[in-house]
Amino acid sequence: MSESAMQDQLEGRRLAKIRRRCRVLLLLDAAEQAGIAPLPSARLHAFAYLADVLSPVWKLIPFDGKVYKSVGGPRYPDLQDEIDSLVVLGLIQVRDLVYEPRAGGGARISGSYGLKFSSKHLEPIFRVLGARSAEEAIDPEDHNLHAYLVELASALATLPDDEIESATGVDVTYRTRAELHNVVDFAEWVNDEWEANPSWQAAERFQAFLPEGSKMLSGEKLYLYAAYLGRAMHGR
Amino acid sequence: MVRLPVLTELTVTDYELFPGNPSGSGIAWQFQQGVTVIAGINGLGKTTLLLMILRSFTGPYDLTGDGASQSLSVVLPEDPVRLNAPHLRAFARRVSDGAAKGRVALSANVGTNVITIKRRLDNLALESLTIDDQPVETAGTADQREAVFQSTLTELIGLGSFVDVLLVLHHVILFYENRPGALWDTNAQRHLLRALCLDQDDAKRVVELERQLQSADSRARNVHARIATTERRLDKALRREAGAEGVLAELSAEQKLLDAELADAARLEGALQQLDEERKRARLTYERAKIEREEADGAVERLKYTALLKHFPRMDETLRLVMSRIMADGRCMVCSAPAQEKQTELESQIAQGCCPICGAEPAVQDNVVAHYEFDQARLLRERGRAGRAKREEAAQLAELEKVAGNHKEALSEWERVQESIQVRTARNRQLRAQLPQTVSSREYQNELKSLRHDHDRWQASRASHLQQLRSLFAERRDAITSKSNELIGAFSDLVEVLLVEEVRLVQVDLQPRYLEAPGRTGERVEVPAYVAEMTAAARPALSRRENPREVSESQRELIDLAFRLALLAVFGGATTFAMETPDASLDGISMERVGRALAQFASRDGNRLVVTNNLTNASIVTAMFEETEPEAGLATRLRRVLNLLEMAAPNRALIQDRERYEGLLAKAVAGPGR
Repeated sequence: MSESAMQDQLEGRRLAKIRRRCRVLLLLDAAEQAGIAPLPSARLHAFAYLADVLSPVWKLIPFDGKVYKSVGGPRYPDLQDEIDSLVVLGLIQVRDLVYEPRAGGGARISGSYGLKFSSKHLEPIFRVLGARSAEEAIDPEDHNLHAYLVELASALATLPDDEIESATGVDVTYRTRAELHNVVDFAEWVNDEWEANPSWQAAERFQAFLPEGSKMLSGEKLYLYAAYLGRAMHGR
Repeated sequence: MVRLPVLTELTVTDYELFPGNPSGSGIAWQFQQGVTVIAGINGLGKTTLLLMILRSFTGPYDLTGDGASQSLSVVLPEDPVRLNAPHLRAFARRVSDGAAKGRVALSANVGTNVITIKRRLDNLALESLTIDDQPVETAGTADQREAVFQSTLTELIGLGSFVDVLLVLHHVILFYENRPGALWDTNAQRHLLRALCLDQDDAKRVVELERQLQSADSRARNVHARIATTERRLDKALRREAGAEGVLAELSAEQKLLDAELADAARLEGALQQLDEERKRARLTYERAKIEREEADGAVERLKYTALLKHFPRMDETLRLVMSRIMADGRCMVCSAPAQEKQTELESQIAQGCCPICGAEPAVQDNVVAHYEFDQARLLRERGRAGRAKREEAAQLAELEKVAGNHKEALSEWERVQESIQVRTARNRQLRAQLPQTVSSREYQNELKSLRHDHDRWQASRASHLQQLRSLFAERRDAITSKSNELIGAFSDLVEVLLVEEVRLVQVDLQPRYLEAPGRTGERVEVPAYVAEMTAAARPALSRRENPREVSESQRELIDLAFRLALLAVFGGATTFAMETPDASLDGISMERVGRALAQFASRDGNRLVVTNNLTNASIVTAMFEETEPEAGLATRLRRVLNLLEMAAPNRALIQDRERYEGLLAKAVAGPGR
């Protein structure tokens, strides 16, 4: 590999790290606004997954179009690395930090994460990320992304706390698109994103229950999908 | 519900190879529940006897004219295929009288019924068929009688067709010397899961659609070839009749370029599919490496964190996280700089009971810092694992980037070629429109029109069958995967006994290669299937082995054996498993493992296990008896041995060394310690 290609690769990886950090902050801010913060690790990773898989309902491209299906629900090791870094940088605070042993002999860090509001850096970051208004954002479209995350967090807030992480177990895409120990690919390398994402299909199908001529808002589809997850968990 | 046959009795009469004891009595063997060992040295007819069991069921028909093939094609034959002469006459050729009087009769329980099949050994013709001792009417020609037999057996077993019966016999129940695959042969596995999991109508419908799909694809391919030929003929005719040399020369040049690009596009489509599979495999391995790295790092951090917790129960959790990270991976979490010196210093202070902040020794401390002993051996072990996991993650990331890059390049190339094809096709049509119309050329043009119409029709038919197949698999997915957990569990139990390496069965979606004619990429059907994942000496994490070449010969056989036995445990109820003992590929210890796994099968209610053994590699037999009848004496165990040393016509080796061979048999059955 040439030197410039290596430079490009390193730059790409550095940018990916920054993007992941911004994603974590936006997820936690949305959780905060929906009143479900702080988020325990498993819930935070589950929220990250649901935010990806339901992105097309809001006409957004998923942040990550795939997830590895392992025991215990979605887990993004890269995202966790950035969560830990943000704790050290003083933008996130953690409580109840433990290392949970895993079946293979390893361990996973686990804690309850929320924004550290005493940090003077937090608000300026949110402003440029479009979390406060479109005008102050570097990219005004980011405000739409934040609005989506808040709407989704609010929809998921209708589930009892401990059910958000369990909800991925009944999410149609996570449940049906791949078996355990495989990659669930709903938007990364698929021929047809609609076909590969049954969660999106399910959320869009709620429109069919409305009288002809009525139009369902994207936010309403998210709420109905969250309600479906709640019902499915209880076998109703 | 499938009801697989449980062998109960085998009789062979008037066949010179098996005169019996006393001579002339032939073989009359009752299969007891549990183990039957067919024992004999090479040349006495162990394989022949197993073949008689197979041919009793198949008669003069099989999946191919040469019996079972090593690997199955994507589509099964519509009807059973009549065996070629050498296979029909296999028993006749082994004896001097051509087996003219030889007969084999096999009885088996199938569900609640008892079926008895009697066949001639010279040509495999059906002589009689009874169910629960009542003769089944099989009048007419030999083929008509055989058809009645085939439909009767298929109905009793509960499969969709006699071809499926043959499939299950070869790929599940009878593990003979040529060992056609069950897990590794993805076509065989797909056909098996279809036959065993779907109800008979759906199973038949899938086979029918697969056949129609392949037929439409094949016709589309043929018509496509005829279009190319007709276009060339048309060009020649135009050249002859119209004299439009300039346009024709350009058309000819354009056509050559177009043909080359079409060939290139087809080559790239094939390459893209392969690269797509490669990048998906690389992505899966990388995702696993990330999880493994996170958990391996977590194990080291956990040790450090626990130590800090002992020292500073009230320390802020963020600070504790920072310190444990520094001590775990030697990198500062605040500024990301290397911090190996700080790591060594902190570890040393904590191990000696010194304060990790100011370094004060225990003697001068007012608040004595608790002395905490690391489990150094464990720490070293975990750190080694974390180091390996980190290197593996980096290596897999590099591999993923490389493979994904190759795919991206091939895709851009394919897109470029597609664009060029479009431009050339338009130019081609434009040039053709400029050519004068003559009688002969008009005929060719009409033919071309008709061929293109046919081509469109076959492509539409192909697309329709593909869509029907895709919908059927999607609708019946739950039926195919409903016993997935049981199958994976049964496989896991068996493979634990059979292999030292960790192996697990994982459910995946495979894309059978139904299509060969040019078409859009993405015209694929996904079918649930299973693959094995295994550890290796240099790579402790489980990695996927989709190709039998990725494992050793013995591992391939043992994994396939586990898959067959797991299928029987989940789908078979009480059943039979017959196995020709592997001679060369397994060492003595592995043979014992096989013996123990087979004993597990034999111990389940109602099961019959039939195993051949040549007495030179007998640890499998000993292990089976030790597991199934640990207390039984030699005489009791010998009652389970169909002893060809006594029943078969002796060859020279047996005549010369009978006593020694009998000693070997006694030792194999009783075990070396007795």
